[in-house]
Amino acid sequence: MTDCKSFNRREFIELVGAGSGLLLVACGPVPPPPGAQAKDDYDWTKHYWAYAVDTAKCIGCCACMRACRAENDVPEQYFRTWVERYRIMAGGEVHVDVAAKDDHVFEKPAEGGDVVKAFFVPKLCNHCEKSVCNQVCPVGAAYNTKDGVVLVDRKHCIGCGYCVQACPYGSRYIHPQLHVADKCTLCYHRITKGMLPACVHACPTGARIFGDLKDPKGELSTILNQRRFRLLKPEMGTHPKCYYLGLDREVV
Amino acid sequence: MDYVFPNEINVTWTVMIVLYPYITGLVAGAFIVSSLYHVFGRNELKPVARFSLASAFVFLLFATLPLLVHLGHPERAFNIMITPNFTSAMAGFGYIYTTYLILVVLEIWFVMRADFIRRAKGTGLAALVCRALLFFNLHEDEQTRKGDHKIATFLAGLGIPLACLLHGYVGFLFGSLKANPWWATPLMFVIFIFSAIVSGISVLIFHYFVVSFLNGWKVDQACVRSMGRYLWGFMIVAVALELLEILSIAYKQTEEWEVLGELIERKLFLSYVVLQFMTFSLIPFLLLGIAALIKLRERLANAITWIAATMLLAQVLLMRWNVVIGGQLLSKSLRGFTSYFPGLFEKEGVLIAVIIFTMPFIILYVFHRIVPLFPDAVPKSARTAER
Amino acid sequence: MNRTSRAFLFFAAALAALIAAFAAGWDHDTGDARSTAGMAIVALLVVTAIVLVAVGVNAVLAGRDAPRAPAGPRASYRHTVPLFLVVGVTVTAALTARSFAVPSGFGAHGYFRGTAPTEARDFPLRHAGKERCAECHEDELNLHDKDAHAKVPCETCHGPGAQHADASGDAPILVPRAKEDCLVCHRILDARPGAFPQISLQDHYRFVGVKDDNVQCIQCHSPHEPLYMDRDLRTARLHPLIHRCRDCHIGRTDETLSRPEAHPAIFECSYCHKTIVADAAARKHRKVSCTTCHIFFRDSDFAGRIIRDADPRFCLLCHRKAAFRSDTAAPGIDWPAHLKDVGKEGLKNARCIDCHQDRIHTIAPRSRP
Repeated sequence: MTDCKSFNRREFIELVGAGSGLLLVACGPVPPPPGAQAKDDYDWTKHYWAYAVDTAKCIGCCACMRACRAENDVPEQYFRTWVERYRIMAGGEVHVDVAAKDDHVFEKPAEGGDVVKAFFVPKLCNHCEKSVCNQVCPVGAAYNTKDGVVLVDRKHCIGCGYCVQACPYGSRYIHPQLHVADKCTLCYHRITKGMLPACVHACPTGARIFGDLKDPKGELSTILNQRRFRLLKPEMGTHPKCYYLGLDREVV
Repeated sequence: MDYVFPNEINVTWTVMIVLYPYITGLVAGAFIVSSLYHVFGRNELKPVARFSLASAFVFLLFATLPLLVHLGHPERAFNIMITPNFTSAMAGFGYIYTTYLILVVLEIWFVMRADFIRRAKGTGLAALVCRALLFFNLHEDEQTRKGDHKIATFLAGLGIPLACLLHGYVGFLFGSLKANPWWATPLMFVIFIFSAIVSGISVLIFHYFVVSFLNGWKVDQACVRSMGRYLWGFMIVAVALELLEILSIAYKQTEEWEVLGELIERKLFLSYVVLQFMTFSLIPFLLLGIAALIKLRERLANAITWIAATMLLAQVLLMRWNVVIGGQLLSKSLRGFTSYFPGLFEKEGVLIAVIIFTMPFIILYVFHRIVPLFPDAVPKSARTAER
Repeated sequence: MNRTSRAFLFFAAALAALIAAFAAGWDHDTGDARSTAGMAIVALLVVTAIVLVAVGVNAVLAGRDAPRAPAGPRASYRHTVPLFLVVGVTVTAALTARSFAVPSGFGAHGYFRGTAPTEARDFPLRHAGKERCAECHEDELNLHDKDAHAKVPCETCHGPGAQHADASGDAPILVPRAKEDCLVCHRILDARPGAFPQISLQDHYRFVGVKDDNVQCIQCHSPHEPLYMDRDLRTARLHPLIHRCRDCHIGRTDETLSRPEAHPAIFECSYCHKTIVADAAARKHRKVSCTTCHIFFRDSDFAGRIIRDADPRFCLLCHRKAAFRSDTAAPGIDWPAHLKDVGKEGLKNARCIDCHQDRIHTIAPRSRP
């Protein structure tokens, strides 16, 4: 351009300012979201689901693991729930294992030794109230429902794996076929129809207890008011909603 | 000591996630060198100013590639900009990266406008590209040059905090992850930034020597000496912070120390203790110290600096590996470890990593063919009287 | 007012406008600032803050090493207009497009897609539940609910049954018949609670006189009626004395209930049942200990028998004829054939002790119903 009228700093700043205003307008109008989706006869504001595990009752049959795998098409080598076996030896060593293979059956352990104390501990997603996994999801695919269940939005998850790293309890994994994050959903598709989660349904000894914290007379509330219980890794500040009755100090 | 939670057996963040902070680190470091010249007026760095800016740009172009390869759904990658969840450290990535990319592109435009004009006046495809980049306005005079300079300086200054943000958020991401005792430390943010600067300066030194050697150019001694000194200073801070972090954990010996100590002694002994610290930190520290403090013959000083820079490149890569992979080797049950070997030909394997890392250098060469990055390079044969 | 002040004032005004827009974008229901508009505004705010800082930094540093430009032409920026225009338009267009790319319903209930919880409920049910099993298998359930496996849900052993129930039985369901399937719960594992019935297969075979290792558990124990009892299990187990632990203990000690062998032997059967014990010692079953048939505490890991009302099925546990029984096992009969032999074929309430009372011991009249 031959016209070298100088474009001084003031005009430049005014142009940038006008541009900012335009940006403001551009970000502003967002189509309002449609009204809350129909939840048919299930009202999620009326429930607050939680879970308790009675470690003294677990016999390590792993029926829960098999039931969960069948109910939710859990991929092989990954677990939405599992049962840990702790064997504390006379010298203080602790051996922990999981019946991870095939049909999930605990056999007599290969190594013998002087077992002083041994027990089973079922584990699952703790459905924390202040879940770290929800906090760290970069796209808003991990969320808490109003009835206290922590879920993953399979259609929105990008599979970055941040939530898997953030969970202190090892409850999450990346689904090898769907390539999204996956975890225990408390069988959301069952509990919203008044049924029990598959693991609770299959447990033969009543070691797994599921209930509604909003029901003060319900089984779960009663147990929590009567028994002593602990949480896993309470120092993480995640406020887990899975309460362990009779939790041993060796369990992390 | 041999139990991992069953979901932890497979490592989620693979070598791609080692590569990603490494590349953004190179970006940050190269940009800092460029800004040292443009903002802080370190004139001895003029020979590499353009080169460092272009290096920052090409590495930035490829920074997202390891992430896209890693994502389970790369086609949904834009979700991070459409619905960013700002309670997550990772959510800032989309906007920070884009802003920074725009900034670097703008800065290149302003810094190298004169070069673009010179090229645009020629013929050929490159000339057409340059003309398009300039919006077909090839006019320049002292006024436009002044304007370019002012904006370039402004952008270079603005880019420093943005570069720190671009690379620092990764460090923050690791450092704020309370579930993993190997990662959770407030120092992680700072460690990442300083080691990023170390890697950036190292790659510039490395590349500058290689390029000069291949083209038969004389290396600018003042520039190399200055970069060597900056490298020495930044690496002292970076390694000191890394050591401080591990010393702090080892001293406190809280509950996690049992498993962290075993992680260092057993799983990471080779990569962390032997390679990252004893070899690739100690030796460059000594070499660069010698080059900085003792007057040596030019060729010896250059050789030492180059070797140290190459070692530091390896050190920073190892540091990323030890942090990312090391943290996933240890189980959150605090009772055992898993293992990880990146496959050679897998989707997230070594071959892809090597390709992704090599591509920026190739693109940099293409850039150089369009607009020369070393306009003032002097051939070796034309030696001046001064040695 | 000089140029710099004006610039800062302009930015301050822009900041104020941004804050106002942010406040407008605040979600009043949840107190959540993450509505899509507000979020973009916040991002702009941050960038503006950075720009302000940079402007300040630049103002300080820019003059440092560059030679003080004396008179001389002012800098011109006209040539930068197309560039900034392109960048500005692209960024604006991208941010506008972003608002339209947000999935519908996002943010309605929190920072996630509003329809996601509904989608999370849309999964097939694989487990059916006892009520559905009862639609066709009421007979099995009647037996099951009164015996030791009463609390064990059907699908614990049979696996998910919704498909089988939906197809009214035309789709298969798992029917575990192998001894491995029983041992899943009943093999001895040191981590299992002591009160839970666990066996060592070899010891158990030896005890019941089985010589063939291939014998399956269900050849003796019906899985729906493992103990053949049709009474309330809890009262069947407890001997009246144990019922009243509080006679000696302030509180119940569950430890002893699960490992009663640890309790000091404070009584022998003969302490109270002198007559019966003396009488049994002279009869055919004298080698069989009291607790083999009468259980109120376990004396070994594999004893799990209860007798009540002399149900013939109990005697048949040892006395049923089977090819796999060893030669040293108790004499075996086939129950229907035996009934026929003694002329009581088809008699509903026939009991072994109606005829064979003398083989065991005299039975004292009941003091309690």
